[in-house]
Amino acid sequence: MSEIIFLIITIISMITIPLAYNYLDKKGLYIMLIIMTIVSYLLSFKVLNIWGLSVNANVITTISILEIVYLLIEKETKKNHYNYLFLTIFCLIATAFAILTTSSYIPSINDTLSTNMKGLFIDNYQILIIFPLLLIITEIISPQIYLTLNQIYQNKIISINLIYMVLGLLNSLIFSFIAYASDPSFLSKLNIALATYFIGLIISILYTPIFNYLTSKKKVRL
Amino acid sequence: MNLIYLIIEIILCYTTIIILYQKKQKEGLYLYAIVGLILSNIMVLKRTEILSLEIALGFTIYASIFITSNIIVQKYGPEEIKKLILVLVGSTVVSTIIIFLATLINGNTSMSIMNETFDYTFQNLRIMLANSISILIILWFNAILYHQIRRVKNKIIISNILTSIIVSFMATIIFSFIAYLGLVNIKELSILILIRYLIILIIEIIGTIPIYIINKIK
Repeated sequence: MSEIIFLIITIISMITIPLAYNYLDKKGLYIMLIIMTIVSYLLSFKVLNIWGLSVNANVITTISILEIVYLLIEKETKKNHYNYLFLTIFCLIATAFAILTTSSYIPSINDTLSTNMKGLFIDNYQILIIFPLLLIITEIISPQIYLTLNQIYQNKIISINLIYMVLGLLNSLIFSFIAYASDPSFLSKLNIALATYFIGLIISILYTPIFNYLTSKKKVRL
Repeated sequence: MNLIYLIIEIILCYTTIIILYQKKQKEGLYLYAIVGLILSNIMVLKRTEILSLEIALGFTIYASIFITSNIIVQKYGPEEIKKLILVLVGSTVVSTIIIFLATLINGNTSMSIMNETFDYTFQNLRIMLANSISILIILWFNAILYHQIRRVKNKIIISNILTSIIVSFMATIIFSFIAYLGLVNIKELSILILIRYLIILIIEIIGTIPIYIINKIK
């Protein structure tokens, strides 16, 4: 059942990006970037168990964010290339602020969720810090590598997947070892990092036809 | 202490709206509304006390979304709100579905505490939907009302206060009925409605200031 739900989330993420682009053009991509960034930040606080692997729940949405960034690099003028970075930083700061504020308010006596929220977000403060940092760094570095690789290989799909093969692995390893630092087992952290990387690679490859379709699409209905 | 947090939150929300408008104009207001709606859906899950009165959190962002809508009407006309509502419906549907579905997936057993807390927190679909639905249903009415009052008496303060008095009452009733009906008795429900209404109304009246400031920005 878990695997089916995971696939449903993957399909939802993959369908909504072209839909948003079809109806709202580049604005649709920016809106999807906002949604995926906030959702990804929240999902980073869960580790899934699917197909016997321990995978961070944000893997689908993080890959979606990167695909949107590459699409924006392709579609936007050079002047507006880094608009997405402003949006990402704003969304991450706003989400962190909302999480911290919610946890700080003294709960009412009837509140049953407060302990959970505090336990989830404050006790796992490493995730609260490392996820936004890694996402911002990735969003700064990967488009530059993408443009360079694109010049060398003249193939967008190879470029994107090559970047994920290297940056994705680094990202997963750094995230797992810092986010789950309180977990004493080295193997457990390595397991999560590699499983998340492996599933992420498959999702990145699955995105290929959508990326091809959207980059070749010229005019959209507004 | 909660009152201090509330004041800081109000200042931050309205300052953010002004800064985003200065930097990105209409797109900045859209950005605030989208991010605000998704985040208020999360914040609303917690209940707190303001001046010993119980209220579900997220109400500051909730109220500031209506202020953002009033700014859009003031600057671009009521038709622009239709687009905003469509964008907000899409954003809230996608984000809520993905987060809720993630709670249904089995978590890794070695991190069971974190996973169970995540699931328990975000499985409160009813309150999240109550928050989104009450905003989305009332937003169009809010725009029309603000626009009509503005046509009769072209004063921001009058348009905003009159709209806020009516709109926040309707939004609070819709929110409270969806969120709490059947969980609390009618007397408690009435008190929850009244408290939420009064607090949101005060925040929306304070929201006249950012509307004035943004209206002066060319």
